[in-house]
Amino acid sequence: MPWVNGRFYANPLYGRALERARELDEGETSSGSKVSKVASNEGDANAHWVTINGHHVLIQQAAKGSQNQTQNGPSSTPKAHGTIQLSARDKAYLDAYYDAVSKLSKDYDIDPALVLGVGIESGFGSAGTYLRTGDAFGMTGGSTKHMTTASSPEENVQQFFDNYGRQIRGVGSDTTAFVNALEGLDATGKPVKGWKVYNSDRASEWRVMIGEGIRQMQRDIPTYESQKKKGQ
Amino acid sequence: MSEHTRGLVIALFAAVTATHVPVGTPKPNVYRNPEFGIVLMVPAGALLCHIPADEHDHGPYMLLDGTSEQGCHDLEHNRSIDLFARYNVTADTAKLSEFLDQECTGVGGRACGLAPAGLRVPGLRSMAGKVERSDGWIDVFVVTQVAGSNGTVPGVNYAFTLRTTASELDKDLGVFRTVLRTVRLSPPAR
Repeated sequence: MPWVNGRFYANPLYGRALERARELDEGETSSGSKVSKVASNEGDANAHWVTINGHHVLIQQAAKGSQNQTQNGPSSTPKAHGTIQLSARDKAYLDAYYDAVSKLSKDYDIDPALVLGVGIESGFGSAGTYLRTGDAFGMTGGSTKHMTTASSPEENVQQFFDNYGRQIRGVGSDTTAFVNALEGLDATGKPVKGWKVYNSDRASEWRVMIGEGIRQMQRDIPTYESQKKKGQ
Repeated sequence: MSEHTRGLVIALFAAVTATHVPVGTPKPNVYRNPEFGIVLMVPAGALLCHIPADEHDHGPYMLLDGTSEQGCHDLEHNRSIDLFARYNVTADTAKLSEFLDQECTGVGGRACGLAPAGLRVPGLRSMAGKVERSDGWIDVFVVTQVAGSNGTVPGVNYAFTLRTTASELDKDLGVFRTVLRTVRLSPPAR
């Protein structure tokens, strides 16, 4: 399971690199030896540099012939372009939802970025029915009969997992399997009897939207975690 | 029955009948979505699909050759017009051109080709693209964005999709242009 230092990473190599950057952050006043250690790998042909939180970090490529798990891998994983500016909106959303989602995601063996990405339904907790209902995940229908109301992010996250937890359990960081599961399909795309369907008629548009939300959270979370650790 | 009672019955009958007799043209079918600020008059001949009551309403979609709503559950294989709204809160759609690319590749399955001329939402910056899908269907996309009213309210991305066939393209484009010309997009402030 791709957990590094207690954090979930869709890409374990990226996770290890980020954790190394964090270590550098913590030991900035006396980290000369650590920097040298990283720099000593410069000549490795199977490695490349990325900048994370202002630090240049070497990411080791997977061995030749095995799956490439670097940031140049699957398109569902955003590329690292150094420190990403976290918007006030996204920070507020993560302040409210990150801990609650992370806790349950661990229980369900799922990358929290996938669940947090569904918050695009509410503009990441900034707009629409969320302002009246407290439901960031778009589980509220068009009529009052189908209103999902939550008094806290924790309650809202619990509602999400109550509704879809059994369907998304174990998808890890597989975006396709996650979106399939929310649409009532198994990992191969076949309908599963009895499963709920998030958006029944406009699957293509909805999938595109959720994909955008997930990629945004995959970009945001490393920066958010880093800032959180620094107490910002 | 006295003369007075008979008169009353006739007057009552006339009043009841009058309320059920259509006068003039029928009222247009209007779709409204307060969350994303959409007001759309459904074009003549199009069948507006009902959004399932327990699902988040992202905008209207309609069939162009439907007489029953069955086709609403299979938009991939029915001539249709779809307006899907979502919040503009990701780097993927920060630019209008990137938003269009998302639609062509994500929904149409291919990169954008050249769209028919003149497809735009009046008064708003728009872009259009066309995809000839591998299954033979044609998707025509028009995208536009409305900015949030201040720093705290997100903007909205609107994606219009015409799904049609080569033989019906010209006819359906006429309906699509009517939708683009008559739609009103004005997301509410917080």
